Amino acid sequence: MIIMFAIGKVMAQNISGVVVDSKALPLPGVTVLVKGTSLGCSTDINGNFVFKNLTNPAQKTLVFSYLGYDKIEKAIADQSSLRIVMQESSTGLSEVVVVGYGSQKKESVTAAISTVSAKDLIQAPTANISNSLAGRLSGLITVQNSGKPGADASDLYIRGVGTYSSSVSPLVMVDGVARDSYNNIDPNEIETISILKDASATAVFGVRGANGVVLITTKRGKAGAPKISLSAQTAMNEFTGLPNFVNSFDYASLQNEKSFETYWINHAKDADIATWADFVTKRDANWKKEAAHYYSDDDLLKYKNAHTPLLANGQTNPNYDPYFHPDTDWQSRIFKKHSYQSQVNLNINGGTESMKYFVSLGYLNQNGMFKTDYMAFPDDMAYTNKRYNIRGNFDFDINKDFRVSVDLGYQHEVQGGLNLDNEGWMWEKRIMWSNPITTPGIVDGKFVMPYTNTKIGENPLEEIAGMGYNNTIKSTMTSSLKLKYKLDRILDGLSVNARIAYDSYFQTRDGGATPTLWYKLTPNSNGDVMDPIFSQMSEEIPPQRWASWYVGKWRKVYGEGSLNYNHSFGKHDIGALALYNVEKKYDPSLTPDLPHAYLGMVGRATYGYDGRYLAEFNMGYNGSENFPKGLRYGFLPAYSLGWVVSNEAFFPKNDIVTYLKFRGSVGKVGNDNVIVNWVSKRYLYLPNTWNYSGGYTFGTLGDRNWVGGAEEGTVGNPNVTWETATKSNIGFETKLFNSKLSATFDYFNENRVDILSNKQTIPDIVQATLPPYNLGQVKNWGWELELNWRSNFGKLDYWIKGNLSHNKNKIVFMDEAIADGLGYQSATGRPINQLLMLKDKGLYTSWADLYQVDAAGNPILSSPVLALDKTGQPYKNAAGNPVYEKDLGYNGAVLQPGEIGFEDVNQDGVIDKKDNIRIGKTNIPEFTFGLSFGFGYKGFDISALLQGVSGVDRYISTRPFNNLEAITEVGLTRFTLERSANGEDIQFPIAAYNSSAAYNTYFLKDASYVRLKNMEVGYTVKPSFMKKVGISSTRIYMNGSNLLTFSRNKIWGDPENLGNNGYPLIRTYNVGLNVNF
Amino acid sequence: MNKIRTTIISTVAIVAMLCLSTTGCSDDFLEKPKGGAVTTDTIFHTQNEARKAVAQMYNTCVTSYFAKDWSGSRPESITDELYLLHGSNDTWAGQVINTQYYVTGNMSTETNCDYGGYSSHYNGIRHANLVFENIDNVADATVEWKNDVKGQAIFCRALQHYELFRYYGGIPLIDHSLHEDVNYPRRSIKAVVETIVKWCDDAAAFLPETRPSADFGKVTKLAALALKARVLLYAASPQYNTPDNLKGELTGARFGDARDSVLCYPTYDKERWKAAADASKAVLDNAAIAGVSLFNTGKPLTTGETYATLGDYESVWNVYGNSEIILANTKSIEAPSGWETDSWSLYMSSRLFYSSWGIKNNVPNEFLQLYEKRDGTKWTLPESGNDLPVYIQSLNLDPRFYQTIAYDGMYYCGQKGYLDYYRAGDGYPDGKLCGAEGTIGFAIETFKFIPRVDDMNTKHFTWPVFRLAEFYLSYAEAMNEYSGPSQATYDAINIIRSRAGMPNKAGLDQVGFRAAIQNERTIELAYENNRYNDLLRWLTAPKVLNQSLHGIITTAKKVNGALTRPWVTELFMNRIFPKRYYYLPFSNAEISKKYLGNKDWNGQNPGW
Repeated sequence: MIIMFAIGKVMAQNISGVVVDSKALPLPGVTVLVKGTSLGCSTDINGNFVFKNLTNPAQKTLVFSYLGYDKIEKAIADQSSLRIVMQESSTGLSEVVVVGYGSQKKESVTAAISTVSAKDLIQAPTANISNSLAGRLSGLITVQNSGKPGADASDLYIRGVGTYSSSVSPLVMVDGVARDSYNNIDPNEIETISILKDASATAVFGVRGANGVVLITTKRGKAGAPKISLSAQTAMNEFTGLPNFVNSFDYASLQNEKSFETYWINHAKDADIATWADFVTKRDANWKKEAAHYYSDDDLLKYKNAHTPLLANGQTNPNYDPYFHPDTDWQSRIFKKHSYQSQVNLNINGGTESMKYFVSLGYLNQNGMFKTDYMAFPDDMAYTNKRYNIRGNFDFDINKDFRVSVDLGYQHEVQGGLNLDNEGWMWEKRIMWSNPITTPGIVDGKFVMPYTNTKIGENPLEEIAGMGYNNTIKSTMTSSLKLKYKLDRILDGLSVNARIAYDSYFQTRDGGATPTLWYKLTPNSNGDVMDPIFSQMSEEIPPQRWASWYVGKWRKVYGEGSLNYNHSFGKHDIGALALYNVEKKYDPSLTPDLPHAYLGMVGRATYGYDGRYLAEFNMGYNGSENFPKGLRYGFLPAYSLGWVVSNEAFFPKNDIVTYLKFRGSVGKVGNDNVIVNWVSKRYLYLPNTWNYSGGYTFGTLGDRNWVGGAEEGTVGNPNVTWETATKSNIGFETKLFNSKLSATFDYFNENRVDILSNKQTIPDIVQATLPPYNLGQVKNWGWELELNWRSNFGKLDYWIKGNLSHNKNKIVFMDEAIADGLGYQSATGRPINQLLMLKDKGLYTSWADLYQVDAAGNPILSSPVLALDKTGQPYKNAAGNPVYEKDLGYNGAVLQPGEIGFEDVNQDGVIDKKDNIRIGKTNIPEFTFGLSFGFGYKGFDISALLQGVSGVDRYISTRPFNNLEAITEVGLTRFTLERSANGEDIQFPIAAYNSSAAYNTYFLKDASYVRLKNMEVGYTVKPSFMKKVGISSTRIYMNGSNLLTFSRNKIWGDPENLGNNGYPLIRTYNVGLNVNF
Repeated sequence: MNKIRTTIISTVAIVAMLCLSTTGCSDDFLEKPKGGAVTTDTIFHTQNEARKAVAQMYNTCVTSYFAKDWSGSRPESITDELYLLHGSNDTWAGQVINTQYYVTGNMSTETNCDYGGYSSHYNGIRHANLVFENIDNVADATVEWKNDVKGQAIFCRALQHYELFRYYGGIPLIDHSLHEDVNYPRRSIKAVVETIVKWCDDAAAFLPETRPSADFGKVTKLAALALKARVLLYAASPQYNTPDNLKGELTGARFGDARDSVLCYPTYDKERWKAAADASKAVLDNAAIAGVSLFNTGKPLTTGETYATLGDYESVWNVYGNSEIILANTKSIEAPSGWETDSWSLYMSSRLFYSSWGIKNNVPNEFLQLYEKRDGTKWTLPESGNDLPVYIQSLNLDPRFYQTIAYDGMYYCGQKGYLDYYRAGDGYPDGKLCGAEGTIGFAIETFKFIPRVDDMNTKHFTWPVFRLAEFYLSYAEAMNEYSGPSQATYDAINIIRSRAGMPNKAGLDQVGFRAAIQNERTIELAYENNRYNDLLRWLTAPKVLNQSLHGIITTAKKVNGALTRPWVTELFMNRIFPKRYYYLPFSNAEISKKYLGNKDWNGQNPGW
């Protein structure tokens, strides 16, 4: 316990007390201040505090504050011993809200900000922060695409997307400095994460704030005895889902089915086919011959017996042929069922009057799901993500006016494993395309390929083992020195601040190659299929390891100086901020390799009257190097107002509505990050640039001379400037029913103009690489609702939090070339990234959809069915001939039952690219929601988070029957006339479907989902015997993430990254222990 | 006191820091540091830099349209010279020219067969125009060098306009680099031809007659004359210069109103044939001074697998930089930028090069039969036979057949031995070149541009843009159309035939000579990217490209303990050629930009 002494005087008295929570448990670390003085202390481990020799105590008031609890002011009066009961604040959050370049009292905030605290973050046993934000914050969309250790971060979108050509990522600030990487911070280091949503909150970030801002605040030391917290947890991971694949017998049968169906496609238009009978005769005579792959009855029988070496009577099964007719379950050969991860964190915080500290050490070890026992370097080729985190945040109070803060953070990451740099491709071609009939895989420790099957696939184990490995080693150092000097002597409430930050990053890589040795299997001439002949097919090359090499590095210097003013007099609260900052980043990977600079000024003025009327002005005056002299700086202001109705005299005091605030804001924010073809463009104003590329060889044989090429690059745009978002926001905050329920609602509207984008209407005869111009416009709007209920049944405390967000956007203008009559293909007027594809009208379910049929249901080829137009009438094509349904295949492809039917949008009698329309939801969800709830009873606590999205579609590009890949269980739900007649579940067209027409809405799937994102059960013990060894509390807990998922199209995979090729998402079960000393 | 001093010092220090950083509040902090970006001035300042722009001009303009990457088939896959397989697995092979849509009559505005695409031509034109406009700024080069570069730039511009002309008809003519505000509609055939011809003349005035061997691949005066001759030959042909009696052939490819000026000349003019003949004659007359001559060592037959034993015809594309080449694409093989150009080209061009993988470029039976027998007579392929190699050798065909076409059982070279295209039978597994995938097992493909000498070393062959033989045939064709057969036309065709080892043509009337010269051109220039335009301009495309194409399948059979290859013919496909194919469509995107036509017409070609 630390006590601060004032200069002692007579008439003093000792004042002591204890602070407890609503459950009468002592609260350590509560800040106790004597109001109107700088006297203060904090409670000890038992909640006790004491002020020795306090002068005139009877006239003094004590102020108790503690993060997450309502502030209490208590007059001492004539008591010398106080008992204070603190209530958890109904928002569950600190009363102070972190805002851009500062913090504000929550009550006086007029901007739209959502905050999540550390407690919620560490509930999710995920390796990185972005994944633990899902469902926690209104207005935040998270999308996780991969579960690969070290590459499993989510993409974040604040209030959807507002531009179609530039970066849509929010700006991330860690402790007041823009930082490129935040996902590698140990969640235990974090105090709060806020997202700034409206213009009022983001205007201070000027040309970098248009996509919203994520503010991450790390923990700082509090005065008091050292508090040590140790947590350790270990988790088991598994895939949320991996497709089930069909076995060899089904695979071969389905391929035969496909070949059989393909015959109609290839021969329906043959001159010698007049009737269905002609066709059947010809098909039955020829289809096996023309089959791309035909599997005979003998093959099928052997595939069926691939796991049956012995007959029931114990004799050798003559159809058992595991080498040449295998049935290999690759998924179980390639993947483990489970992998493990562990996480340890030790942190200490405490301090004295003049020095406070928070120091944290963290370790994470995350393992991947690949089996590696058959590889040359089993340890190196297994995916791992090891992370070491160190943070030290120190505050030195040189005197009561002068504070120096030093923040140091360091993250060291080692990410290793298979060299899957081109992951999507590898995944698709080598892992998902591993069909069960190709090879038995490994026989006698040898990679084998049967001789007869070399054309139909690869040996995935050999392919994977041959990829080698690499280890990526990343070191990120962040540092900041901040000086704060109070100038109350000059003006009450004035302070001056300065900060210098230096960040650096270095990345190296090492690796190894493991050329595989593989063997060809040929049948033994003695006829014994169980005794095949191995012939070595590749040279034996010893595995190699490579020394590490440099991959990337950068360093960034940031400087900031500011004047702050905060003062209250009478009923007036006034605040002001003037801040100047500069940033320079040196990164050799930038094109061109020149340092990147930012420079800006920030201003803020806040005014509050009597806690009822609030007004705020924020502005950013920024410069960006991307723009030419004269257009380099921009002034981006935002204005906001607030009205706390419940503080008005006329507002009746009641228990129903205890608090009500209306607020609104309008302002401008910019975005200077222009991305063309995935590359950020710089210096767009430069005159016509040239690049060195291409070249040509002149000369004759033996005298050839290569001359490198140079060609024109981008033409300059001398008028380029940033895109500007005008954002408005209106909302209210209220507390109801004795503050048990709090609610926040916001409606927002954004108009993004001057979007830097390419002109699409320039004729191709120009052929200059024209620069982006400020010409696009997008509107983005939506609303958010947060509800928070906290109450108790006797000793059982419970809480429910919910958030629901909605966003929509529309391209108002985009320069695009749309041919006459094809207006339905334009992106203008539609959501960003809405797909342009054929619209399906379902499957043709019988021959009767295409031709008149005879009594047996067979088509009468001379009597095709007329196609009907939008009004239900037959219609004619451009040549004046009637349009038949059978001719509506994509680009004239032959149709049959089970094919996908397409809408002839332009009614010209053919299905081609002109029939593509803008359709479907985009891959950014329109609705996101989170519902968390929990309760505590004595030492037990349980909490859970349900999270979900809707209004989102994803296109499936990897489908069964595309080529030679394995067939998933989706393939079993394909259309056949028989399955259709039996009313079986059909999720897929016929096996021989026209894959070149697959870009259509049949494969655009609703990716809405609801999932049990996290669930946690904990038990806290505080027995007195542990206190003797210095332990104040111990909590053991179990939690998990991605525990249950509900979605409509689960058969296609995890809805969050539906249709994505790559490492699947992960479900985690975790147990942990947290000890506080 | 002490405290106050500390306060003051600290305040001063902090304010000073603020000021110090504030003084940086100027444009200088955000100004681009020197270096990093290259602009037009940098490139056209020194000759050494400018020559890089020139090299890239060749890269963008002088393309041979030979398969060049993973998605580019041989351009002949849309003619009757090739049948590319179009199973579901092979559609990508013809992606660049959309073969699968073209041959089935389903080419669309978005899937036309322009190799490289409409914009690639204007990309080359822009590059050539930029070189032309900026080359005078080079500080350290001689006027001669600059004039030479100007000649090359004008030639490159003309060559790419010719490429557009041969696909689309009249197109916008662009003789300077454009910015975005443009109004350049399609121009008439007359204007396009006159302009290209003028550019060829301009280029010829700047270009040297010959170049040192280190500059082989750069254009000479003769190349400009060659381009001019080819354009004038096309312009004189019925597609553009349509005699009244042939106008009916082009129904469906004409508007029937003033818009037709972008498709053809308004009236037939026989003198255009004279102009074409004169231009070809100019090439022949100027060849000697340029060091160009027909490659003729008096060896029509290939008798072994060394250079010395190659037939003259095969030598023309096997002997690098031989005397017959007027202009070649010298980039194609062995560029340091990579194996893609190399391996993929060979992969796309033949199955025989890599055996187990590679695109099968089947030759239809209909095309095989265009080769005459050695005695100059025609032949017909039977439906089936007992042993394909024996049969084919017994036919004793035009020696150029055996120097172009690979067939099952053919002895190729030491490295490959006998080619095995047969399907499995009698205990023999599928031949190495058959492939396991059903329809791939056809027995004939072309090996033109696949080397067999020097251990199949790919460095040795040249991909011609222009070679001299073409202009003998062009001259003969134009003169026959102008004034009927004459000694001059017979001399021109027979010099080519005798080099190939074929008997002379004689005693034909104009129609008979027309048939002879067209067939001669087809055989001599096979697989050199001429057939597509020849079929169009002769108006024979609707006949040749509307027929059923067939292939030959062989199956291994053991006869007296030895492998034989009995064969049958089988349908490849029924080709479809709608009349609107005469002029390729512009894409919807280009049409929607509304610059190709005029206020009453969107500029699209008829039927699209």
